[in-house]
Amino acid sequence: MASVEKREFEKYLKYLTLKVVQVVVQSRKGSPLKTKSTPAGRDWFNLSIADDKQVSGELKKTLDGKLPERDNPVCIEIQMETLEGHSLVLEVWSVSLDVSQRDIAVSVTHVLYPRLTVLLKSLLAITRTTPAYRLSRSNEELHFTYKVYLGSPDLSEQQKKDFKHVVFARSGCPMGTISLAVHYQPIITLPDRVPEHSDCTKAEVTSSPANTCNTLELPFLPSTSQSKLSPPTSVHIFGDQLTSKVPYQSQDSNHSNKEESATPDGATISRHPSITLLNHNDGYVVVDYAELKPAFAESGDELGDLLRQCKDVPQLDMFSDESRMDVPAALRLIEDKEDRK
Amino acid sequence: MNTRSHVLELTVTPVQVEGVIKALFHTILLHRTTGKYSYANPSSGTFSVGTVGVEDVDCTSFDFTYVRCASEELDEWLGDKIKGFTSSLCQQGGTNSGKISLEFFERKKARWLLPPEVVNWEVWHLHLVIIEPSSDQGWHNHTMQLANSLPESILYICEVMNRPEYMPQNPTYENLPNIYDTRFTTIQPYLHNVTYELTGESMAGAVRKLFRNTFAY
Repeated sequence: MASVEKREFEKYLKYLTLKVVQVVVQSRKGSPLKTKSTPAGRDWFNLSIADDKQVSGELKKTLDGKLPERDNPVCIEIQMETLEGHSLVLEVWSVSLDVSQRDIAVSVTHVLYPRLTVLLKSLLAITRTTPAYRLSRSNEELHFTYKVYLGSPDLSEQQKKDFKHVVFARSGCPMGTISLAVHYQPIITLPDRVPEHSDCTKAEVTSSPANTCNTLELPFLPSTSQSKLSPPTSVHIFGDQLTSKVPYQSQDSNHSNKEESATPDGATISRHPSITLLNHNDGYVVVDYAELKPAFAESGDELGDLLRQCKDVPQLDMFSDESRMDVPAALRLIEDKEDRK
Repeated sequence: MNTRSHVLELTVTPVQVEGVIKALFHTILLHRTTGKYSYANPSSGTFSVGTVGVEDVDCTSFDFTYVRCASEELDEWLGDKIKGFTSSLCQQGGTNSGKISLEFFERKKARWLLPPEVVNWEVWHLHLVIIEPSSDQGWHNHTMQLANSLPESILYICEVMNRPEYMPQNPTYENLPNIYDTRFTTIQPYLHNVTYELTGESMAGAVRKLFRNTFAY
């Protein structure tokens, strides 16, 4: 009987950990949550929380079958990155199990399971109250990344002093006490913007789209002059920096033709096989010209070359130097041709 | 069994009253709501539980988001219940206060010839003090104060909800309507009710009565 309860408990703890990670990561996506109540639904903990496949995969790799412990909790770290490249740790959420605090009167199936449901609901409520949530909902220029790991929250001494630590939910059972906690920055100061540079290349990489040079403001309209035309390859690098740090772009895991690659952090990123698309605040989409294949172009031709080819339209024979004629003669020629028809 | 009683106090402007009440009461109701119970065989006592959906709600009169059960019926019912309190509190104008309560109760089986007994097992009182700042500094101070007090209230609610305290036992099929509110189609909160009183009105009424009685001689 004890072994059956222990197996049930380990299953509950495993799925609770998965749902905790899903709730925290999805709450920092920047969009409001909305799921449906269904009388016939049979979801874990009777709560409708979607499972993002990328997040599940990441967690499976990290945990490798292990469960959280008191000195080895499962931590979810939320970082914010500005467009200038500044990176800040905003929060560390944790799930832990303290086996030294047991409540032997609690039934795992009949009492603990409903209490874990309440625990998850508290997590849903609390994740909306920290400053990071407001930032993720209100500021499109900021990008949020997450990291999942086993072990104590990875905070510096200064961060431990500055961060607030709250244990907001606990639930005891014969195997120990499960706790949910968060270390978070109560006040987040955004770093100052990098001032505009006269050197366009530097500005493209470091500053926001609003501060880029004029050549990048209208990327779909290359100039006919060779000196002005510069395919925005630096924006491609800029795009790489963004996409490698924004795992939320790969939410559509059903899109089977997307490539996936892993960042050094272990979070996977996705790219469309032919185009990297970025959305900017000023409303247009930057396209990587190096990979774009314009219609009717020979392979290897760039869009600019195609347009230059089309610019030099071949002259009509009647206006060439060899067969130049005056206007009345040209009209007679045209009439003759029509009579022959 | 003693009724557990919890008190929350906040200072708000008239336009924020409804949003603050809904933010806190929906958070409480989220924790006190389960999926719909389905009894395969009413006599066996075993049942399965449906799924509760959740949704974010952005408050319109202040910068805050809360999570509620995905049930339009519950939101409409709560809105109707607090409408009277909200409009009365805002109409009086000036500095005013009121108390609105969310009570969870169960109906105990009737004893011989006696009606069923209604017993509160948890009550949440929300005291609201109404202010109308007259300066920009006043508005700023109030905004900062609300930005701190609302999350603290949510945290307190969550800490209370996770305490191992008395909860009504899972009912049999016959006893289900005595423990849970079964009128909602997709969710099942514990039996609950909303009551309120306006402290400003009761004070003014008492003073008017005192004057009337004094000058009656």
